[in-house]
Amino acid sequence: MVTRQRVGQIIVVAATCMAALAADQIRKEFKYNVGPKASISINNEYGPVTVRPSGTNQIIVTAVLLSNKVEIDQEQIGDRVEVQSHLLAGASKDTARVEYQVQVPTDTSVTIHSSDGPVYAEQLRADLAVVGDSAKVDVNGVADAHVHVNTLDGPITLTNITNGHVEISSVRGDVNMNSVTGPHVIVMSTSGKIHYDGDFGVGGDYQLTSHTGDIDALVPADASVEVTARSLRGDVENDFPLEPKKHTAFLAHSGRSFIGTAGRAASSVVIRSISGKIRFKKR
Amino acid sequence: MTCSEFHEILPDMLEHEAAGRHAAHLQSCSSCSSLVADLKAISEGARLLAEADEPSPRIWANIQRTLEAEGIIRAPQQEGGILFPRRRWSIFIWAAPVLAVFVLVAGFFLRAHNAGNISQPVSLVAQPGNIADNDEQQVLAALAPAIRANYEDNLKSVDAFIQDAKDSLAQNPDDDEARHFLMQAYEQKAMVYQLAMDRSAQ
Repeated sequence: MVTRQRVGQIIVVAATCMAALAADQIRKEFKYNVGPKASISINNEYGPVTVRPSGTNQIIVTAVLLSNKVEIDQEQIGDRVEVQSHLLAGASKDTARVEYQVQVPTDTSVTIHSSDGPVYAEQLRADLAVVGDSAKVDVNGVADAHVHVNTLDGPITLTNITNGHVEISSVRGDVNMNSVTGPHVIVMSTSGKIHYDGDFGVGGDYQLTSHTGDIDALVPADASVEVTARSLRGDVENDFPLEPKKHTAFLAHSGRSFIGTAGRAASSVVIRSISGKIRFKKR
Repeated sequence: MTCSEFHEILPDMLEHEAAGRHAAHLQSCSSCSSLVADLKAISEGARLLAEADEPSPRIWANIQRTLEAEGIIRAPQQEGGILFPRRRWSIFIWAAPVLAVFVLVAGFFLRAHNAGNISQPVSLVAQPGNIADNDEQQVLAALAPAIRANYEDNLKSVDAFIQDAKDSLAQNPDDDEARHFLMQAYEQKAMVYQLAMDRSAQ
């Protein structure tokens, strides 16, 4: 009985807190008419940012402020829009939180700064840059664009990126890529793991580099690649049928490196690690 | 002549016109001719910039000494030329000015940012290692205490990467891969500095 009473008290207190919190929440919406190839910059210290296509020529920003310790500074200059969470005196990580839902024309360039995120962007056809400390970054369905993501330890997931100029850099965050192709895909993580699942496209330059993080590539049998993989101190495994290459930049050591080609060797893939383990596997 | 053979003499293309088989390759290869055109444009732009605000030769000399001490570049031992191609690592010569500019810009940024906080100006001309240590202290000091520990941990990871890459390069001075790792490690550090400066500016 005592336990039931205790649970009841907790529920009442929690409900009261949530009601108080909901009462403090402030919802704001901003709409901007923009021309082709507009741009938006969103700077949100704490809280999620989600970007989706609007299907119109409008940028629509919906912001939910969790307290009055933060306000939104926003400005439109021509086709450029800037939105920033402005922390007021006494703001903390919890009270300064703002949740952004942003809808943009698909050809709008998007820049996002968020320290803890998460950040999610999908179905864009223009450049996307995301900078975050520990923010989890998830990018899906971006085509014909530059995708640049920098985090300290935030994990990064890229899915269905086509014809992308992709540059990913994280110190300790894991990087996962599924069906990511393009002429230029450069991924660097100091100690995070790097995972690539896809066919490396046609005519691309792919470089996956780590210091201590493991690097895995899962590749279909019909991939057309020239692969160079080398770990200075980690193990290197390959079960993909590669043709050995006659001329190499360095002497391949069994178990530490391999070089070979598959198909017409349309894309160049270079995988490097100092002490991480490298696995190149057939899907 | 292959593209990779042509890349060996790429630095010479900035100062000399291609001749013989190099010229033939340049005519037949759109990729290399486009690359040479781009590099010449960059070189010309850099020259204009340099003319606009040229630091003293002493600063460049000190930066060069620091980069050499760090193992990022090596002191020239033999002048290369079209007839005597340079060694393979010459392709990394392009990265050296970029890194030098980074060191310079980072120094100026830090000096500007900390102008009101420090009594001594940031010295761009320091002993190898001191530049990084001083910069790191200042970058961390400018951050809010709540996020400082996270940046400190990440900088430790990057510093371990740099040290590991330096050791690998010291063991294998002719290994292009080891040099590449060192460049990548410094790029990571530059990224962390950039993130930290963005945060400290907020």
